[in-house]
Amino acid sequence: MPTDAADFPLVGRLQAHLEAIYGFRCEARAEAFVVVDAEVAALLGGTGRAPEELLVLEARGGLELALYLAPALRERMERYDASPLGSVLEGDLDGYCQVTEGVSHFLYVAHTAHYERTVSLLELEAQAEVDKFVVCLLHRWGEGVAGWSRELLGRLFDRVAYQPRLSVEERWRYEEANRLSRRFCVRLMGHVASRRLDKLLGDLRYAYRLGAEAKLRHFAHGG
Amino acid sequence: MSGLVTSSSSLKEFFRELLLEAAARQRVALGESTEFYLVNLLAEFAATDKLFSRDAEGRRDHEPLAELYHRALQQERDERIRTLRRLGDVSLYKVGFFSGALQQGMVGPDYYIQMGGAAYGQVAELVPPGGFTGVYRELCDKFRSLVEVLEEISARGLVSAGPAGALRVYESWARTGSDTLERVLVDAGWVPRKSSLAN
Repeated sequence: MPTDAADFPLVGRLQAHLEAIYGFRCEARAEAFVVVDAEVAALLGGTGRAPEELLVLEARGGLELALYLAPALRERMERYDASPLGSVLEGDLDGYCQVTEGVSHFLYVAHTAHYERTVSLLELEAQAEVDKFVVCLLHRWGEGVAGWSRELLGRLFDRVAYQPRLSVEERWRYEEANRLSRRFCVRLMGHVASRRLDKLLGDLRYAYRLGAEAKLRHFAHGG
Repeated sequence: MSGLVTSSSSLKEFFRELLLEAAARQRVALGESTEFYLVNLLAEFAATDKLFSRDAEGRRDHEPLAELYHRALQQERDERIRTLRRLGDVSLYKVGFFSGALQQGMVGPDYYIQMGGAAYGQVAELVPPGGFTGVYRELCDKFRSLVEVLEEISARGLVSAGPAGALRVYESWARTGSDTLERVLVDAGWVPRKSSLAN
């Protein structure tokens, strides 16, 4: 898939961040699949309703992917290119999470396609919610991370609003993804409080590799 | 490495500072000329792609250490010195900055340490007495300690570059239990001090 956003370095940095968290490297690099032209995205099946959208086309026995990131989103993020990545958390957490969500979707679809697994939309959304939480969490790993994790829980899971244009089915999916991933992230809080990075990574990596139903069950109940 | 070099106006001054700090923390005493040699080595490899050789088509290529050594054996003295010095430089830099990757390769870090240290030792015997003899002798004698100094410089750079780099250092530490890496992670808050570790 052609790219017209070679200068969106945040995408590559986020992919590296997610790969480091989950302990694998994906051969496909998200930055090579980024599309920032809304018209091109529409031609590829994009709805244009969100600033980030993963466009997936099953073709010739394989998957074609494109990651649409709205130009406005890129502009918002550009101002942090030269700053330490952590500064974006104070400046534009929402924008950062939107890009993270796009990269999360790309990586998860590419990863599951590699193992020839199908992916449900609910699974994809729930994983992205977890990814956003943990990506932001690790920026401030260290003293004070427990307080930061509580703040993140509130901002990412509790104080959320849904677009009014969502269909009933879409609305249900986002709410359910939020509920499931929140439960999982709350369970991770013990490792955060004791700063057990080994246990945190262990749990995250285990859950990441579970298949669709098992993953959702695990998020909901831990089993 | 990007996290290390982007904010530096003077690469050599930047590396000198890092080298002195890491060497002091690890209690590795270095002669002034050796320190100068190492600063130049770090700055050159960081700023250029001198770590790589070029193949016939001009593509970047890693020249195997054994091949370099084999070539050195067949060369005249001056050329041999150059080849052995490169063998030492490449070994030191690679094992210092990329030891994590080397541990998953065909040959481990020890191979690089032995080859590199021995190469500097041979250079010390080949160069004319005086001059840089002492530098190469020191590089040979302290090779293993210098690897740890470079490993610390590399780890601090990775940790300061962001969580992805810090996690790479964490993984290396979890695999090797290296005291150097543990100190870097503790200093950056990624691993609690042992006294405050909860069960």
